Amino acid sequence: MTDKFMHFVQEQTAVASDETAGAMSIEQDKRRWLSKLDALNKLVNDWLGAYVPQGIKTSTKMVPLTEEQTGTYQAPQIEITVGQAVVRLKPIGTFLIGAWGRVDMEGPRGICRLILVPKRAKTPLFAFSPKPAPEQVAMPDLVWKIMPTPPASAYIELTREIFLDMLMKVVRGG
Amino acid sequence: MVGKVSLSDQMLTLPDVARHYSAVTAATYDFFSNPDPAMLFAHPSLAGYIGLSVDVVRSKVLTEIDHISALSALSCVEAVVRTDYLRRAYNKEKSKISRALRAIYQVKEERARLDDDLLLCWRDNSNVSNLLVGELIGAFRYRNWLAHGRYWTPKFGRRYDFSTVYPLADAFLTSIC
Repeated sequence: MTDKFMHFVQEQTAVASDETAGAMSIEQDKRRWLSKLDALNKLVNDWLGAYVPQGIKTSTKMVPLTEEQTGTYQAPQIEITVGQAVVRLKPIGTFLIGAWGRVDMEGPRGICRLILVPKRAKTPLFAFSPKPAPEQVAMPDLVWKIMPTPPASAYIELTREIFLDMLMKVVRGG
Repeated sequence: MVGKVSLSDQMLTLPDVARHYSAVTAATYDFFSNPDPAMLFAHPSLAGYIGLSVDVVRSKVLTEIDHISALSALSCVEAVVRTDYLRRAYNKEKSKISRALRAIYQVKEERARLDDDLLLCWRDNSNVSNLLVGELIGAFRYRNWLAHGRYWTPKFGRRYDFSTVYPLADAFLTSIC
């Protein structure tokens, strides 16, 4: 009986430990996602800064985001105003298939999806879950890329020129 | 006519679904880009949306297009998997996957389950990655939620939409064809 009970205690402790580790991992995932949103925010402001005197405006507001693993939390949403058009960079979430995060840049005439993937990724990886323990595999270097509209599948590198092109496209169409 | 099931010639391909999605999405953005909201809401098709902003209505319409397109993309996968299953069952091919699918057919014939029978058979008897099949089975839970009227609160563990489902469907069909 004692051995059986000892086994029970060890089993329950292991489950609790796994759950704690899982919760920590989710918290780390969320923190990484929020820091990458901040990095995108900085990138966008750097790229658009030169056009502020001509009338472009950027602002950031915190919006509620709900994901199954985390519940509801606040994430930054960038808003770009050009003339009468407002373009929002809406944070979609970090618990996705084949990616570590997504932001949808939506304007009055279209949408462009920015995706957080490893720097070397050229197409979707489908390697999101289950995640290996951090000590087993180093987290890849994550960067923002543009997710093409299906049926195209190759990611487009996010550069200043491409971003400005996409911004014009979601405002003017085409 | 192949074997017992009469196959139609009405199957959509994934690129068909993608083209339809792009056309309808672009048309929706164009429709809502009218700078005068009063003019826009005078359109008879928007009579049921009185009291909502243009952004909210557009978002609702786009969300439905997205769901329907995701449903359609995953239905394409099911059609390909099932017609391939029947073809292998009827044609008595010798490959490992053909033999495994035929063994299922001998027991279940046309009643084989998509996820528990056919997709797991592909996982266990081909070079299609376990991860890809696992992700696809997860996506079919989303498809089932859509197909059955979304009446329960889903717990998928991740977000699904057309943009996430399409590359998954495409990768799987590329792997098996």
